[in-house]
Amino acid sequence: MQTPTDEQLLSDHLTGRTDAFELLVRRHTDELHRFVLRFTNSSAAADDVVQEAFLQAYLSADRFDPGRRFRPWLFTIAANKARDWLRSRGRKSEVPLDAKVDSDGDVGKTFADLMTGAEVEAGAVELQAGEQRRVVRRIVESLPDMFREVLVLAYYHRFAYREIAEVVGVPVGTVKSRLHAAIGRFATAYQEAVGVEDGDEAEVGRWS
Amino acid sequence: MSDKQRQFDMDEWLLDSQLGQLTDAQHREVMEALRKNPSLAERDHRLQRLLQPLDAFTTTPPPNYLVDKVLDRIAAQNEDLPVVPESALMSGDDYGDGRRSVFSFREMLALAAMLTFVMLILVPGLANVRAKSRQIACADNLHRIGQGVLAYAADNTNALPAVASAAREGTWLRDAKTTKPYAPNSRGRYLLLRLRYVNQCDSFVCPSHGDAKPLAVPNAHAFSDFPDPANCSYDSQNMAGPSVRLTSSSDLPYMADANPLFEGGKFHAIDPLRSNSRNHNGGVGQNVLFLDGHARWTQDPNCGVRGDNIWQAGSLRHYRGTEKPTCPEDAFLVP
Repeated sequence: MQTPTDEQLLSDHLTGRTDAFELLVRRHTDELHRFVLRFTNSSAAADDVVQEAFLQAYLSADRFDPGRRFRPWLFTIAANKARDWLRSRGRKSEVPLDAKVDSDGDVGKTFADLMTGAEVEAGAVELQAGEQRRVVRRIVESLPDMFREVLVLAYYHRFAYREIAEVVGVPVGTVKSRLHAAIGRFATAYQEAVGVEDGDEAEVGRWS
Repeated sequence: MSDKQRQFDMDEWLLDSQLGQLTDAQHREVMEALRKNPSLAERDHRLQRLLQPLDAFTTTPPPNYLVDKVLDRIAAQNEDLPVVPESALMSGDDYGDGRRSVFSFREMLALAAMLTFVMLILVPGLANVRAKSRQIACADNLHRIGQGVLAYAADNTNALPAVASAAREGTWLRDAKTTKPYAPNSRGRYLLLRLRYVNQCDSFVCPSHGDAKPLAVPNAHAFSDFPDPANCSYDSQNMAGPSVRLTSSSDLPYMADANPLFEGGKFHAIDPLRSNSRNHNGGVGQNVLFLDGHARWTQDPNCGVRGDNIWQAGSLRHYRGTEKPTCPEDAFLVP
């Protein structure tokens, strides 16, 4: 028997199948929790946001557009709530004034520079697994919210660009520009954290 | 199209390929191009090396209870609310455009009267409900801290957070009658905040403890301990004793509501076998976090390994602040 799609389950739920929404909850809790955890870096927020997101999805199920896909819709709800949480915590989501990226997406230099830089790992200190995890987590956490959100959706959850655009509420071009900027900033910060040889430092510096 | 633009397009294509954004046909095309063009393959390799560290950012799985919590909240929603369209809830009375209020003014008055009546009946029970809800919030705190402990141990070869070298030479009791230096056990717990394994300062504050107050500084990492004892209402395993690691007995209590023997930083000669933490209603029970990461409410302080008491070291009854657990399975939770 074929596994029902998310959209079929939601439709079944709306027509009165009692366990259909529960199946959706069981299917998506793990991934949704991982997304919010990486986005907010707080397990407490992840617990709360996941609950709130499913509750809102449940209450709004009758307004779901059957022409759309359920997963981006659910992530849109969770992302909104996670952004609210970050705002309530005083996190800044604005891009600093010296960021080499504009909101419309022209970040060609950033990405091109990144790709033409010196051998990225040259001189880098090998890190223990635990230390590397800590360093990477801190760098991702330090990215502006708008960059981190797109990076997490694209890299860890493999959302298509148009789906990320739907979740974040910006054009596809902006999604790409934010992603390129996020990768550039991450690479720069990571190289700084693990150490690079003098000759490479100037190249790395151009990436961000 | 300039060479630079063409190069940028190719780079973008490589990134799309790495992120699984291409169709199968497009992906095959990229693979073919990489095979034929060594410099392109080199750029692809460079990109892989850039992205690879991101894989180190692993996350802990959600707590086991999360799905049940979501389903409980949905069930509660079904019980609490009439199933009506949201648009109807937002509208007022009949506006002549087909929308109509769910309740008329008269129905609202009747509802208010009923609610008042029900409240009068329920008020005596509300205190208990509030106490119960604070107990649950307190257990949630410990669970969150437990997740932080697991993450810390995962990054530190199963070691538990501790500043043991200082504790071994000093006293962990603030008002101890000894000349030894004060080396609070709470420094170990504070590592979780300082190193951001636990992100919220209020996770260390039991909601039932009236005098407790969350640490309210923007730079928790600049401190080495909770600046005020009121910033942490939980006590944890005395790490100055025999080495305890995450791989030690999974049912070893690691942290709990404050030990009543050492309340206020002083020793109180009370019976540890019959005393509960005073965090909850003066001593009705305590939440306990175990090494396997689960937290539970208990009214019995003898809930350690094989019925071990969590407040005392071995069976000692008097303390000077230098006592330690007698063996790795002896829970001895201290400030």
